[in-house]
Amino acid sequence: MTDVAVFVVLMTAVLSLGFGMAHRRRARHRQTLEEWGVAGRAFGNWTTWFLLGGSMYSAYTFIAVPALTYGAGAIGFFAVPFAIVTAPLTFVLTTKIWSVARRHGFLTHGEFAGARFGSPALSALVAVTGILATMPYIAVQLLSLQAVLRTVGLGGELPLLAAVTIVSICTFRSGLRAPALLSIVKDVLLAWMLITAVLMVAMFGGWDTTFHQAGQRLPQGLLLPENGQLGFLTLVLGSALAIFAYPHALTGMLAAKDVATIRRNAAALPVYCLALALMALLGFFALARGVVPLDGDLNTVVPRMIQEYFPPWSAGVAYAALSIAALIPAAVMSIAAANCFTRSIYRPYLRPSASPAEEARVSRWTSLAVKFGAVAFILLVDATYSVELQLIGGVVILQTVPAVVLGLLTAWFHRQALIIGLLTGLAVGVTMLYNIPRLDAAGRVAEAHFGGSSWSLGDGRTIYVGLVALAVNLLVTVVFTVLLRLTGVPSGPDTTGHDTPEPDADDPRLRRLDQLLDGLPRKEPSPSGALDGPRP
Amino acid sequence: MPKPRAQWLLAVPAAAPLLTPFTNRTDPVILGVPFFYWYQFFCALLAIAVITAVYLVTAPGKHGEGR
Repeated sequence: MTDVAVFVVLMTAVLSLGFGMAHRRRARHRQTLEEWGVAGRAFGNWTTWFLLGGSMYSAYTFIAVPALTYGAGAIGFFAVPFAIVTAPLTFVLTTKIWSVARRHGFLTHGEFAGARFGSPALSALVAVTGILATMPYIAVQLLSLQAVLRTVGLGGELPLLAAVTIVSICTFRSGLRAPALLSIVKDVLLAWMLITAVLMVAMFGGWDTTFHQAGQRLPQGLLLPENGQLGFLTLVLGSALAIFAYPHALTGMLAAKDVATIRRNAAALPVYCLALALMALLGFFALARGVVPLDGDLNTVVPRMIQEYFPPWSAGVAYAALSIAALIPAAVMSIAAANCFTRSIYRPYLRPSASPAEEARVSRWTSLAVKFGAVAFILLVDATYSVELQLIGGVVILQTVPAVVLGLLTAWFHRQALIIGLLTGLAVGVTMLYNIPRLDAAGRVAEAHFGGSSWSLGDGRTIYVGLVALAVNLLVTVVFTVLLRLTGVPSGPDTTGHDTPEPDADDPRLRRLDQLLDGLPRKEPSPSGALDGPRP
Repeated sequence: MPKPRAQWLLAVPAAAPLLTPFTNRTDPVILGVPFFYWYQFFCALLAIAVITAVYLVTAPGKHGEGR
């Protein structure tokens, strides 16, 4: 019982701390959406680092990745190279979008895409795609929390609801500052948990024995099968690109106070990769020791391992670390989704005259709706659905990459081509996911649809669906951009910009890049009209 | 403006974790951890070192670029 007592005491302490700080902070800041949604873009090195760690390395990561190495071996380790690759990309890409966003007051990818390609429709489409991909992501965070609570013996709906309610109130009041504060506490608890884990492995025979025993229990051994390389690498690349399109990853980055902060953070972020890699190896420990998950739910592998092998009070600390690690990303994601709604749908389409205070109010209530929507979803609808939806979400968000990631590097794409490409990519991705059967241990079809995100190529090799859909999306976007420019198709009537195709492509394009990335005035009346979009 | 050439160094930590066709092996084992796994730990440390170096080379004075 010691573990449960420590867990409950820690959770109460941390959440009241968050609550108290939220209350104290509130009066000091003017409540605009910039303040609430990205904390006034004022976070320094440390806060940014903790917040990014808190929002990107979530409980789902710390619970699902070991569960994957436990169940599937080396392929589950894909999360580690994926996380490492994002660091140098952050150094280059995030710096660019931070500068643009700072200059124009953007809070979301949608706003950037809309302004870059002169299309509020594209902005709204990117926002909707972002919200659709984020909702199930929040749900799986809460499922991880539920897995911890169930292991501790606090099953049922009440503890889950209580935890979510408290964090929602903190977030409602103080916006991004609440999760930022909680992430500092979380990392301290998580460090404690990792040290305990290392000692635990040392006490039970060390890594030698662990890998030896785990290798015997995995049918394909400890390494990737020869034909598993393509599936592994496409998964790594797809996930790395998706991170730069997910709304919540951007929210944390935009809260940084300057470009140098982002660059220093890019250098320091791989520290989290080390923690993640260690967690992934713990999946092998659980496998070697024969930890049995509750009701076959692999999410409970890590909590169960903690319960069996940690000293009770340390187990309490670990449960608290995992639970807070689930609540922080849920908070950041709900803020990000709310900002997407407010900036790309509410203001351009419903209330163009919305004041900053009104925006903040709309975002607050939307964030509440998003969070409790996710709770309702996992409590009322089948929980396994949200895992499937999360899978779909990853493929879905990748389809905005041409507009929001490649858009940082070039403004060449035609906005209508981007919209057509995005929709095609969505259709291809979801169709492929729908047609992937789930096989049971004997290789028979257990379920006909949504059985994973690895598309079989027939010869034993697989490929990540998201990347295939993205390739189709890009192809369609490029072909339609060329066609639209060749035929001189005028822009559709549903947009406010005047993004006519440019005959002499080079110069205007370069100027537009300069306008966006190097700080020339935004409302310069250029013939291309590239910057006419939803205004900040 | 920073020295853009230094940024190309970032390709090293970006590519290193993706070399799994060459790193998909057990030996050499360090502390009981097969090569495939500890290599990624090494890549994370490499990323920290290279990005820090690039940051130091490109940082102009006390403010970041792009302002």
